[in-house]
Amino acid sequence: MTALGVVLLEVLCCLGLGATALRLLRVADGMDRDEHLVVAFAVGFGLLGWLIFPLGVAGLLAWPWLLALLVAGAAGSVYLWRAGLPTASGRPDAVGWTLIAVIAAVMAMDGAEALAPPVDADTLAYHFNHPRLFLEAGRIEFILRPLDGAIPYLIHMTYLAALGLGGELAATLWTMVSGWAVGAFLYVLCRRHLGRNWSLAVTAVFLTTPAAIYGAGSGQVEMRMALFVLTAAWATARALETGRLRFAVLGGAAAGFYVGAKYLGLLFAAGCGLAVLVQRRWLAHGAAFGAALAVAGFQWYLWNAVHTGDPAFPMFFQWLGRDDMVLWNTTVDTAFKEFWFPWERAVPRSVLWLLLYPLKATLDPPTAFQAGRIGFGPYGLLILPFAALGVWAFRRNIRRSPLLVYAAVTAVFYALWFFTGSSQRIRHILPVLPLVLLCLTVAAQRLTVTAGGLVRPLAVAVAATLCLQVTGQALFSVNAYRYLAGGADRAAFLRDNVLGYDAAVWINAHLKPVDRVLTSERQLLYFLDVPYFFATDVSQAAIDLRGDNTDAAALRRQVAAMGITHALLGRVPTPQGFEYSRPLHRLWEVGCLRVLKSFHMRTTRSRTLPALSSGERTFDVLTLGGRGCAEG
Amino acid sequence: MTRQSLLATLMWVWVAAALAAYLFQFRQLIDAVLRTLGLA
Repeated sequence: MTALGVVLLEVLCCLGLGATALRLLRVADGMDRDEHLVVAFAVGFGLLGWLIFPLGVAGLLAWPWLLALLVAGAAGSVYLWRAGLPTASGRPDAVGWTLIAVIAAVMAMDGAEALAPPVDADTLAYHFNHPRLFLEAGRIEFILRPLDGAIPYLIHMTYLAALGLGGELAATLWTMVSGWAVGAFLYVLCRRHLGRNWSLAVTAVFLTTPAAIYGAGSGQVEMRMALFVLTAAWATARALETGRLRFAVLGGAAAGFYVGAKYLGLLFAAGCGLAVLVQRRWLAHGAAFGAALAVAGFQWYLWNAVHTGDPAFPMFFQWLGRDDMVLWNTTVDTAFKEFWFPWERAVPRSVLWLLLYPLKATLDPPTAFQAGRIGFGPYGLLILPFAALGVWAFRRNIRRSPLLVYAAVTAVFYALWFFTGSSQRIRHILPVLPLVLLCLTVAAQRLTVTAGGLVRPLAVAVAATLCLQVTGQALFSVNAYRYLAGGADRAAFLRDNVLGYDAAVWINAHLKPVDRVLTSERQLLYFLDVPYFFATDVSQAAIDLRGDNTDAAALRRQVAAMGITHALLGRVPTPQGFEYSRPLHRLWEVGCLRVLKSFHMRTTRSRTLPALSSGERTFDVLTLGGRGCAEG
Repeated sequence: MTRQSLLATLMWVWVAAALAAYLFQFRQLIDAVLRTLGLA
């Protein structure tokens, strides 16, 4: 009950903060009630994350402060009362009720997933783990690690409030609710351009998109960043339409929240900023947009710059980075970039592949795209010719439509992401998918108005997409239902779904707070109660774990300097038996590492479908010390 | 055949072909689902 209460309070807080901001900006006048509600939530969501940062830096991450912030924010909900114009209403028809039933079923499955413990590796490595560490420390601490340590945490700050006041269950429920908010926003935006049934269909398609199913219920931030994208695009279009500066401020703030949530927000801000500049009042609007963007998005970049010299660590480290850090230097920075970029880019960055990427990602995705089971689904491909013909048929009307702004912002972001982004994972562009679905569907639907015979194939495309995607979500939820049906046995669930979970439990039971475990098993970090040091060959510079390093004496010194007492290592099978990662294997060979306990476990390629493929893996907990460590 | 009905036919063909092409990549996954359900 506490968890549910905390989530409700956090929802009220977001609504209250957002409604207060919209009132101060005086942008609520032209909105209807639904629009006011979803924009208020999105803006409040960003504001909440923004406000927790100063609390965290000041060392005030304790429940009284977090509770006071949520209560104070919730007080602003009074501004929701009777705000906005009345919303058009009326009873849905049979198709409408069917789509509402589909969305209700999807929400029920989301609910089951939210009641189960988190098992997604990224969530366990940092999305939930770092807020947990900040709460334990009572302050935000700098975590010097690329990709998942020194990053913008604006959305994670909202997880922190849930986690701090309502525990893990509140955090998983919060991800569920904040994911639904994107669906609600999309529906409301669709209603400006489409009828109720089409709006419901687009919402259902989006909520069941495999990437959304994967990301919404876990700590992944992309789904929630769509709130900022939708707000920024809507406000930018309104700024261009009305010429009012206040909408440019709102657009800049929303883009700034995206910047504060992930580095890719910088690219989206550039796309949105360009749209703001292509108009008569470009200077005033551009200045207002830029100022709001800077205020909303600066926090984590300043935080990074103070600690490493590089505001977007490690992107510009070779030019801006400090040279006095133990955990990062130019050698590991170069190694990291040489490893990471080729690994994450499966197709060349050319104009041809810019155009072919969506097709490749839909029909034949390489592993680096992560677009197979967790891609964008078939909808875009199925309705592509309908949308293309619709755009052609109504090309004269497009110039006056806000949809042109949505399409332009999305296209610029996509092009910038493709040519400058570090990774080609499709879920990194999930935040703009709602805009894509909206634009494509409006174009396709308009075509059917002029050519009645096209309604049926288009309806079949929508129905087929929903059938496939809802089936996918049902399969995805099976694990959660099993968990709930089996009496909610947390340990058994985690043992089945998190590789190496038993090893973490053993470590917590047998090691002391003075010990420190060296590990590269990121999915276990959330469960470790004893101090640990996460290390791979390219994630830190303190211990040289590059494969060609066989200098046992130097390794011993480095390990000792980091206060390592134990290691949790996975065995890699070889024709001779097994080995650990190369340099640590050398320490084991010289007798500096000794196995304390071994854990044999089953691995699966898919948690949802164990039948897909499986194997065996062994983890060892090792202790450092003894004769091998004393020698040399 | 009118232009509209030809267009409608082409769209039906597109939807069917695109759906088949999309599902083709998941043949292993579909097989795994069927095996999980004990149907294959």
